[in-house]
Amino acid sequence: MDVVIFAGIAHAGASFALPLLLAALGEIFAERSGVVNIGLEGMMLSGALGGMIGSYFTGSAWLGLGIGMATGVFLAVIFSTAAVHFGADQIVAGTAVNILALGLTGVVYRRVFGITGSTLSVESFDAVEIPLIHDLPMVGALFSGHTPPVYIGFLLVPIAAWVLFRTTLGIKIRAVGEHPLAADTAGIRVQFIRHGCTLFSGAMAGCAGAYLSVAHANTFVEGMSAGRGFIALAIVIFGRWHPFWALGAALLFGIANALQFQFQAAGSAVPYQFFLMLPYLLTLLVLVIFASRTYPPAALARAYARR
Amino acid sequence: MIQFHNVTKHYPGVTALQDVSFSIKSGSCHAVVGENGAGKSTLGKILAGVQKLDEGTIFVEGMPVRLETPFAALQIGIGIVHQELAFCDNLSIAENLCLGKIPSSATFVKQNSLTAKAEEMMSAIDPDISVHQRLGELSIGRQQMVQIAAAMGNGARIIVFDEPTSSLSHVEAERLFEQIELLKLQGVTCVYISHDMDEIFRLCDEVTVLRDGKHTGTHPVENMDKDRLISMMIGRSLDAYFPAHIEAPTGHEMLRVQNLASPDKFHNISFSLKSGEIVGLAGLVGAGRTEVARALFGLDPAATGRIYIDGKQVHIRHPVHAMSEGMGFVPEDRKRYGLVLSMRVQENIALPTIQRMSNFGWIRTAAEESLAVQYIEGLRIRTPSPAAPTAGLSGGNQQKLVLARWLAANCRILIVDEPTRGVDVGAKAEMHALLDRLAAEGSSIILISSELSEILNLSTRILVLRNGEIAGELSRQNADQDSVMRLMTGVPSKCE
Repeated sequence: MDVVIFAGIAHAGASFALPLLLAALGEIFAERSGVVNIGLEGMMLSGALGGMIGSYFTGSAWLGLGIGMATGVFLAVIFSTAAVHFGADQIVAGTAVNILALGLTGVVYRRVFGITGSTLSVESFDAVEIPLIHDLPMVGALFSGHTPPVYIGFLLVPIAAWVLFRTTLGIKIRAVGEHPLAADTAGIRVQFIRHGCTLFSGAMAGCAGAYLSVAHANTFVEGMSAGRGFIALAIVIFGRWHPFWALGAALLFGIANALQFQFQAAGSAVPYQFFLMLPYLLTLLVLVIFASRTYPPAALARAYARR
Repeated sequence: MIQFHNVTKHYPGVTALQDVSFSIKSGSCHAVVGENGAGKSTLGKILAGVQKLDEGTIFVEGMPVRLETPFAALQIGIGIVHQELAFCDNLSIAENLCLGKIPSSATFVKQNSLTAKAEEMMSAIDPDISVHQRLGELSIGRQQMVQIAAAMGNGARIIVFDEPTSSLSHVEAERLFEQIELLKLQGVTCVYISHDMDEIFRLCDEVTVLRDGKHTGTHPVENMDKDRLISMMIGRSLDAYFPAHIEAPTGHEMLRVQNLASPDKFHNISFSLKSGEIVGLAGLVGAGRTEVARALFGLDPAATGRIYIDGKQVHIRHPVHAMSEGMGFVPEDRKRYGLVLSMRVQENIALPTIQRMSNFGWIRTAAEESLAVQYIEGLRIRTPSPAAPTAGLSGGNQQKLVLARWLAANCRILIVDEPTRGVDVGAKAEMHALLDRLAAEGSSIILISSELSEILNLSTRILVLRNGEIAGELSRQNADQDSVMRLMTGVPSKCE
């Protein structure tokens, strides 16, 4: 294989990685505050529909992305009310959101567009080339020639890390996820922080979904999130609740995914299922090699109520 | 002045506090004592806003206050030092200390002032601790030091100490007492919840006794003596609670340890243990007592040295080996390492012997139950039934349950690490009697305890560890508070 193919894989990989990265970044905040948002998948799916509808009717891909985010937030409000406010089991509440989203998106899509066999395509983003970087071999393919959301998504990684580890808000979020009672004692509004983080993860998942429909596929297909929400959940754990590690994990998934397409197209003798396994094997390997001292938030998935 | 007026608190099925009324003078150190379950911790938690009272009113300086949250209590100037209210393990000490008021400009944390502020708070308590460490890396004792620093650093005028010394070493406890004296000089009111008599008589001006959630009296400490205080707490006289030590003849050598060592933890540990003996391991926190015990039980893969049981050399590389050699280990933190709290009492007792209790993988419930009944009666474990959930038992009874389990597994050598930490006066005396009786019946016991009186009362011989080495051995006759302390701290005795 030559450089062109490698460059293509890198470029496609970054693009595949983005929705996973966005959803994972949101989830990192939710989990750092002690909330496991299993509903990521459903929020992504509804974000995809919201984004597609938004882009279709407003004619603006950006507005589509915004409406997708709002859709994610809407589901997150439902989830957060049940799981954070009423202290319902987070896994059960999240699963309910996933099932709800699966049904609801189907119903809404058919209600709005009818049962059309033909796929509708919507307004999308144009690729933007970064002047100097674009001419570099490999690096140019990986980092340049993407649509604007990709750049924004990758920029969010250092920002997220910065917020989490360098700001008062970050300390508060981590304290709430570690020991809500101690945080409460220090005057931190535990439920407020948890609601906020959950809604943020909903917004990010919605955005990720909207990216799928608006920028990636240019249309909506029922169930199009196809388990990406769950992969994002896995990325958060592989990425040890850290934005940079999550970026690495997301890129690994994305590139392995692109590789898998490439091998299928090339008619390789190795069964493509093997390449489907690649990202998981790779992340496991990376984890083992670089396993350092990082600990999951101690109060993860535990509801907090003051007695 | 803090006044409690008819304070009542119900938990599901239990009344923790019933019409409790008394007052605490400003600037005094006021002890709240009682057996476990008497409601003293609940009282402290209500004062610190951790729990809400159901009925009644609390007045601070004559004003009725609403203590809805710990933060609200802190605003009024009430802080708490409490084990369960500790901190976030995964945050740095600095972050933990400044959690309420993080120095920042435009939401960005000012790392330098964060560090400086935290170091200033720590300097009064334990200047050796680096504030950049993850809190979870500290020992329990030092974690509590951090918490004390936080309460003191928050400028509280009233500080509730909920059993603050239960996990502290002698040196750390001494430092705490000095701090409390300092606080008193500064006019801070200390509410000191404890069941340690020595601490109360040393520190406190007044003492309030609670029994079964009811107020049984508030008196100046100078008018009290230990016997009277204990009988107020338990509602009975003292004698029944402290049985005399049983002198039993010791038998053959059960365990011999030669040159046991583990890098950075301890080295050159050699001693022997006869049947019927209780060997006390004394030492400051960090002297290596628990580490030695863990190594003996096969929990330290880096440990080297020779261990003989019944004269035969054994190789213990794993707890399973230790157990098969008849060794049992009752760890310090029974909730974390000793028991499965969600399981039933009988299941916990039968856990190590489950093979004997089952046919082809099916547990013979009747056998399990009769085994449990045998030990529940033998050790006088107070449980509603063998099938009751373990979590419902009091601390002392849970501790006995761990012992019962090892006895059921036919252990001949028992290592008990802090067997009476966090249990009340009555349960403590029962545990002492039990250990004494087990030794008299031929078991060999290695006793680790931070409480000198416990070590002195129970041990046949005392090994004192200092900095991972055996600093000296004292026989029962030669050991007293002074000689053990001197060996522990390395201070030579006066006559030398």
